[in-house]
Amino acid sequence: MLRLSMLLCAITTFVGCAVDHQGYLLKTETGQQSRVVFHDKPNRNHGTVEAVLANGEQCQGQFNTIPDQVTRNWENYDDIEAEESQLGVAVLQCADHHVVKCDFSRAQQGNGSGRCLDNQGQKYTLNF
Amino acid sequence: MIAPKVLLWTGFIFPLVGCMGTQAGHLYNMKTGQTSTIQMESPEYSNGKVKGTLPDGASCDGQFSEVSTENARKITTVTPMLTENSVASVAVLNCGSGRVLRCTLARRQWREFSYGECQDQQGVEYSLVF
Repeated sequence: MLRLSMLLCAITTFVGCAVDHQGYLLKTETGQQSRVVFHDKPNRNHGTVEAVLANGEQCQGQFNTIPDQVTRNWENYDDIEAEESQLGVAVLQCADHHVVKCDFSRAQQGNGSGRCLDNQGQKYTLNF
Repeated sequence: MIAPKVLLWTGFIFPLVGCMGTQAGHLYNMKTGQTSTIQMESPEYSNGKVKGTLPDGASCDGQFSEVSTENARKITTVTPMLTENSVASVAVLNCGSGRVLRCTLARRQWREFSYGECQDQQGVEYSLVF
C-alpha cells in the first residue's frame, strides 16, 4: 500500500495536471464568433489548441509561450520562481491549407487575450 | 537483483523526460498554409545546428546562435514577440539553389525553443511553433 502511494505521488509530481481553457475567436469584419480551446500541458508553458470556425471548419494546432512578467528568487536573481504572465503564439491548421496565427498574452491562471490573422487576410480577436 | 529495479525506473523516467538531444518545431508558410518540420539540435544551448524541410519539400540546414533581444530586432526583418525575460536566437538555413531562410526564435533561458518567425529572400513569411 505504501509503495502504491509513493508511486502515485511520484507520478503526480512528474506528470502534473493538464488544464483546458475555453474561449472564442471573434472575426473582426463580420463579428462571427467561433469556439476555441487551449489544452495546456502540465508545465503550463505549451500545448495544443483547437477551434471550430463559424463556417464549421475544424482547426487544430499548437501553442507555446515565453515568460513576460515574472517573480524572481530574491537570493538568486537568475532563478525565476513564477511566471506572472506569458506571451504566446498559437498556429491553427484548418481546412484546405487555411492557417490562423494568434499572438496572445495570458495570466498565470491561463486566461488571456490576443489577436489573430489568417492566410486569407482575415483578422480575429481572441479571448480565453 | 538491481537490474529489474533499474529497468523499472528507466521505464518510468524515459517516457517522462523524453529525448533531450533535438527539438522539432512546426513550420507554417503563412502565404500558402503548407507546413513542414524543423529540427533544432541541442536546443538548450546557446548555439547549435538546425535542419529540416521547407513546406515545398526543399531540404535545409544551418545553425542557430543566441543574441540579445535588442540585436535580434536589429538584424532580422521578422521578429516574434520577445520580452526582457526571454532569450532570442537567430537561425540561418541554407535550403539549396541559393535559397536562404532567416529565423528569429524565442525561448526561456536554458530551455528549449518556444516559437519563431522566419522569412525567405522572396519575403515569404513563416511561423514556427515548437
